[in-house]
Amino acid sequence: LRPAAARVAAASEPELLEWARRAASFDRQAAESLLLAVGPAMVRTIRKVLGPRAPDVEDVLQEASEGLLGALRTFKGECTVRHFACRVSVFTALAWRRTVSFRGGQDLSVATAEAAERSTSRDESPAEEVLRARRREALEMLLDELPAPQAEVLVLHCALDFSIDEIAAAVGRPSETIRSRLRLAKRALRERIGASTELAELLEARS
Amino acid sequence: VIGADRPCPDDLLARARAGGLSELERRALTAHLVNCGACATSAAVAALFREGGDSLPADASIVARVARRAGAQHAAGRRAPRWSGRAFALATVTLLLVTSGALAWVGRQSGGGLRSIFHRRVDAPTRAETDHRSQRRPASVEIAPLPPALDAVVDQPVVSPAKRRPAVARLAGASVREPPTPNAAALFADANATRRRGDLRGAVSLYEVLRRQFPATSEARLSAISMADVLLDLGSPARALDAYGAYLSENASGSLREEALFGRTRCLHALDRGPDELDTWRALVREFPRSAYAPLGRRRIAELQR
Repeated sequence: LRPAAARVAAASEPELLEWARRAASFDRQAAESLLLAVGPAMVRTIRKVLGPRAPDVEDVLQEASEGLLGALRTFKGECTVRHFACRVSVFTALAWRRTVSFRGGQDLSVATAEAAERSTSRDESPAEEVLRARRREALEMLLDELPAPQAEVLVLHCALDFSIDEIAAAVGRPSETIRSRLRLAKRALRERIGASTELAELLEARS
Repeated sequence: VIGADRPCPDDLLARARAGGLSELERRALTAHLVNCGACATSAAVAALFREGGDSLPADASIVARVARRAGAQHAAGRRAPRWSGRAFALATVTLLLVTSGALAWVGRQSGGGLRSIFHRRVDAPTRAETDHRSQRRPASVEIAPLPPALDAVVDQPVVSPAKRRPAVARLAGASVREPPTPNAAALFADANATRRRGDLRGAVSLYEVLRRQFPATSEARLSAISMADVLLDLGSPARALDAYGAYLSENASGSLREEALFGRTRCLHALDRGPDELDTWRALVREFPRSAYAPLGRRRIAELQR
């Protein structure tokens, strides 16, 4: 029998580790339970990278889930399973963004903006919605311009509030390397924003 | 503690966003942010990230769908394990040893060693072979020169053999055939990758090829669901309904049965077949009362019964 959804969602770390161990041995039930447990965090992470109403969240989650299950054989438990799943999601979503923008097959920002315009769940004026969409577009552009390792660390830190040690454990790199990547990312962002009046105004409008 | 000559307090920034700072830490961080442009930028970027990433009502069903699909695919992958480099090398060496041993044995049996075997087969055909060949082929078989058009193609500096093959075939008047796909797992992966790239029609074609060429594999069974999802996205509910139906008939207790039933309800709704949709929702809720789709199913049943 499948575990009840609520119990799966509230699974403890030892339970997640056990499911991860069994899923690594191709246990379908364990793989499913694991994905049901960490899936909500993965979706939230993907939405943070791709935008709140990105059209292809399900496809990216599918890819991230396959990536997570495939990586479990090498997972040594140096971080929590949830953190590992979030890291895989960040990596997958960033890679997906870069692939799609490289192909130019789909204008993510337009899709996001249109989706935001369609949204009726927020108590915001149309002008605020447009401003929000433009800020989002600016954020995505900044992310795309960063080297992938720096973008990954920035998202884990700024979007998911991981500490330096947690990022180091999830990424499998020394803390000093993570600190350095974050410092470089912040510097690059500051320079980029400083060079663009529009970006600076957008960020000021937020704060 | 947080001076200009010290590293930036990145962990404090993260904890501040989670609301876990003491008053002293908060003051120190505020003072740092006034003087550190990089951290101020990072705080602004974090605020932008917070504007997205909230859970949406549809997320639960997305997670449920993906968990079932990816779980089933992962388990199916076990049946097609990839060869490790060491195992592949060992198998190759074993095959070479066995082959050379067998050839040597055959050579000894025929009395002339390997050399005599090859010589006999190439240079000295048996009488029966000679008779047979003489009826059908000229005495000396030569490689015919390529027609001029083909020569031109082959002489061109073509980089990729894959690109050259269709050109040669076209000039020769032959039908262009794709190279054979090695196995069901590879074809399934191809189809999924094509779908993710956004080429939905291409993905449907590959799913169809997979189901035709490897009908008895787990990948073929799973592909019915994937293909049906794509067909629904393409606005072909009738074909999608057939694909979901194929999965349900081929897999009476399949792991994606719940998914297939949900897909059927979507198709039947799109086709405006209310009574059939009602029956399918009832079956889904009855068989999977704890499904992520069950609340929606109960609402829809109530609507359809009115």
